[in-house]
Amino acid sequence: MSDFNRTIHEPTRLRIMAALMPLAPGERMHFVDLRDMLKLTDGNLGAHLLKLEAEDLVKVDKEFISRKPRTFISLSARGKSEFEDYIRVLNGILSASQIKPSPSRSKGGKKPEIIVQGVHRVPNALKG
Amino acid sequence: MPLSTDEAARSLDDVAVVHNRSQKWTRFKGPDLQYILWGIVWVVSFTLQQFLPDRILHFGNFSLPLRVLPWYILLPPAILVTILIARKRSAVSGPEDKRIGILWGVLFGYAFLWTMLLWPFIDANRFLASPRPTALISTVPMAAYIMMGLWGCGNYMIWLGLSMIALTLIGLFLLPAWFYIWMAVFGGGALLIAGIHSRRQWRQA
Repeated sequence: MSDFNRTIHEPTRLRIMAALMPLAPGERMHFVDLRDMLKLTDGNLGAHLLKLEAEDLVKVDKEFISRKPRTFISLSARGKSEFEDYIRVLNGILSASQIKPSPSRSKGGKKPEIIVQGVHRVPNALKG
Repeated sequence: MPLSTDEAARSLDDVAVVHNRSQKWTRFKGPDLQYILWGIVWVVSFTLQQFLPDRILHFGNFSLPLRVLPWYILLPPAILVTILIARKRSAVSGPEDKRIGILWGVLFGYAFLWTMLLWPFIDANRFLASPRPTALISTVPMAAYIMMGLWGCGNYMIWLGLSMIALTLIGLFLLPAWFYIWMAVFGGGALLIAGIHSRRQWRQA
């Protein structure tokens, strides 16, 4: 039950991974958008990205566009696979305990879907 | 230390919320301003096209219907700003960007080619300021929206493109005398609504 990636489990890093998960293959998110979306500071996001990059969970590319530096972030192949495993483990924990789902915190009461290996899944915590 | 069920549920909730927000952010940030920009261009240009006098302007050997002059003035800066928005404002960049740019180039190139092929057989000045060619050119970007929707840029783009083509045809056949103002209200209006809706989607996610 404890067989999951502890680096991903840290709340901010988990949110970073979740934000990068919907990107299509080859797509990369701009650092600034990731920062704004997650309401983080440059330093905070940078520190977590360093940790994730060190474990080969994300790819960080720095490029110059119109002579201005821009940083792009995406999940690595390993990151994607580790994140999918992590979600599977969490779903397994909830299934095993038959937990009653908590209401969705998303706007409008819609149940967000998480795509794991091409299958649209609603987290167990959001079912019901 | 094993994970508690509460902790697992909380983590999954967090993941679902951020995942959902990211989908909206990546899908709508960027296109929102493009829709608003083109909505304004359509409203202004079609309104003027409806109400400007039916006159031909002559500039040496070159002549131009006064009614299409607003398009000539507004299109170049609007295209430039659209490219800038796509490059600078989109939350994500990827291999699809180039493909989408080529798609727009191909569709407008195709429309331009056919306009040129028909040129010798038409009264060019009247052609540009007539409802049918205007309807044809107006449906080109809608075809691009439909194709982008089919490529996974968002199903809403398919519906936006289809509904705007339908509105264009309804205006063309049912209200030909008021076609341009119809396009300003329903075409430009639909783009503005799409822009405002898209903006809300990612900002409130």
